Amino acid sequence: MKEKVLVVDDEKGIREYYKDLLQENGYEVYTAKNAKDGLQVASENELDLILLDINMPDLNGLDALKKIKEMDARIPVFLLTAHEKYKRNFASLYAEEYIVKDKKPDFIVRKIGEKLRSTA
Amino acid sequence: MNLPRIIENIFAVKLAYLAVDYKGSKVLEYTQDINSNMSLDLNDRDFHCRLEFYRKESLTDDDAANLQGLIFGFAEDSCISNFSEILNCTDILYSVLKHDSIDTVIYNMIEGLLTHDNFTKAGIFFLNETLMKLKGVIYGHVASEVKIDSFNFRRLSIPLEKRNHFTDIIFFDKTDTINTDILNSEALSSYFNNEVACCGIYSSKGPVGVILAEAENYDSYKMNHLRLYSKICSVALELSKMLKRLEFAIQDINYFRENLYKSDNFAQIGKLAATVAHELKNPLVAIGGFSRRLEKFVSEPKAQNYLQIIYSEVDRLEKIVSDILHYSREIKLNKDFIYIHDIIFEVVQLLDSQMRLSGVELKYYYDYSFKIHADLKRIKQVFLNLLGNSLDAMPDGGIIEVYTYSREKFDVIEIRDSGGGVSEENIEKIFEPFYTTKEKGTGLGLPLCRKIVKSHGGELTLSNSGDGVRILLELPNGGS
Repeated sequence: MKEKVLVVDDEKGIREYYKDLLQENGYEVYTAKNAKDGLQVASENELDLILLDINMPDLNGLDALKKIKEMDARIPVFLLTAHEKYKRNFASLYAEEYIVKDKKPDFIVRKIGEKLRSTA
Repeated sequence: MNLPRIIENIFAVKLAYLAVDYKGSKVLEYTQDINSNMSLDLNDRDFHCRLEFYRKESLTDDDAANLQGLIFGFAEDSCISNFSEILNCTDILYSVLKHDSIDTVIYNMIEGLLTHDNFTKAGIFFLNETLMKLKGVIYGHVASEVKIDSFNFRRLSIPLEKRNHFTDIIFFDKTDTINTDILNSEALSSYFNNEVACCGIYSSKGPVGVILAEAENYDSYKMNHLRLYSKICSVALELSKMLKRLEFAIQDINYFRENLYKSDNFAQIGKLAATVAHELKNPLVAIGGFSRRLEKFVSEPKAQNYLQIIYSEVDRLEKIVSDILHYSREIKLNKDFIYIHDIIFEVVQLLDSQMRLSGVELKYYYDYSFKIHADLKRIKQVFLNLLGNSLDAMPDGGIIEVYTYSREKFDVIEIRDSGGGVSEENIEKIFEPFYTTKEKGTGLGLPLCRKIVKSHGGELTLSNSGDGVRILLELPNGGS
């Protein structure tokens, strides 16, 4: 069965990009345009991993991360960040990985693969 | 908060559980790990109380009545003290509004935590995400009395290396006690006893710090007390930050208004924009063109879809570019000798309904044979704008007067209204692009009028006169 990944980002371009990339690599991909919708999707599906933008207009990513971890602490969450300088963060204690958005596609796919193999 | 002990002593019971609710919310909760053999539920107006206890003999009716009086009397007292807590918290928020320094605010908050016989020591720590440390100060008691100058003031830090019960409290916004060893700080471990209560401080973006508070023992009342003060602290910090930011923003706006809207800057920005727009045009054409050609070579639907996105984005950019070029282009004129009355007549027709609605009267003081040398279309645009402005200034009626006369080689058209005029500070800026005093104005009307008049070799000026505005439109007479 395909592993399920949720991408939460308010920018359509980023969502579509990750969706394409991950589908090509054999994942079942869900997308959400804000943290609220993302939490909804996460509560309705048994997800294997979540990619979460930390800077969104409605709920910020930190709050969303808190809610996700309250819901199910086992789901690995990768935080997406626009810039290297935002990497160090209190939330980094609670996220499994930090991904800077402009990293190469192979890197992102590899990181996700590694994480899922280690938890399987 | 020795109610459980008082009950145990007076009524010779061992309490296993005691809880008091007021209107459904818990005022007090106490548990002790002993076996109970009796229980009692008491109700009095909005209070509800449950007791579980061990006693050799059962309580008499008198005992029960006395117990009820004691507990509810106590609960009422604690409601009153809760009220004074709320007042204290309101004062803290109010002091932020009065621009008290944030240190004062924090100090008042810590004092609130310590003075009510709840906590004996406290500390406040702020999150430094770059260092992944909490940095802060601790405050304490001297001889069971809190004095401002006896506060124990130290700079301390708590490293945040991995998830633990302490980081969980902050991350999940809980209030709980921790063992001080977990803080990984010798100074804190030696200052506090083993156990300390903690609660996070938050901004709208997430955790910003934590408050630690030590008491001899911990119960739900104390935890609520700490939580109340942590939340007040969160709101106070955010409020103070927002007030500061607002002040800076207002300063910035004023600076921007005063400096950027000067004509030199604008002319330069306009020129730059036009140059950039022009330089962008060719690459855009190339991108659009080549992507259209590419369409013939790719058949995959996904690629086709991507190409559509490229076209629509290129279209959008082209529109932006052409708008900028349009505004900064030189005005080409098609001049002719035209009767002033023909222009005014046409413009008035366009403005007729607005004039009737607001009750504005137009008076002509000119010779019907007066001619000007101008581009009809452009100069009509100017009059439409000028008369429109005057009408906007007189929503409750007034008079517009139009005069014409000749002065040396110029034909002069003078318009006066009774719309109250323009304030002195605005009169300087009124011809700057994007400067507007109207709610729905674009700020381009008068600048464009002046640009058109200047392209005719003329001059457009505006001044206050009488109870309104006096506009002078001077055009070269074309040698007639």
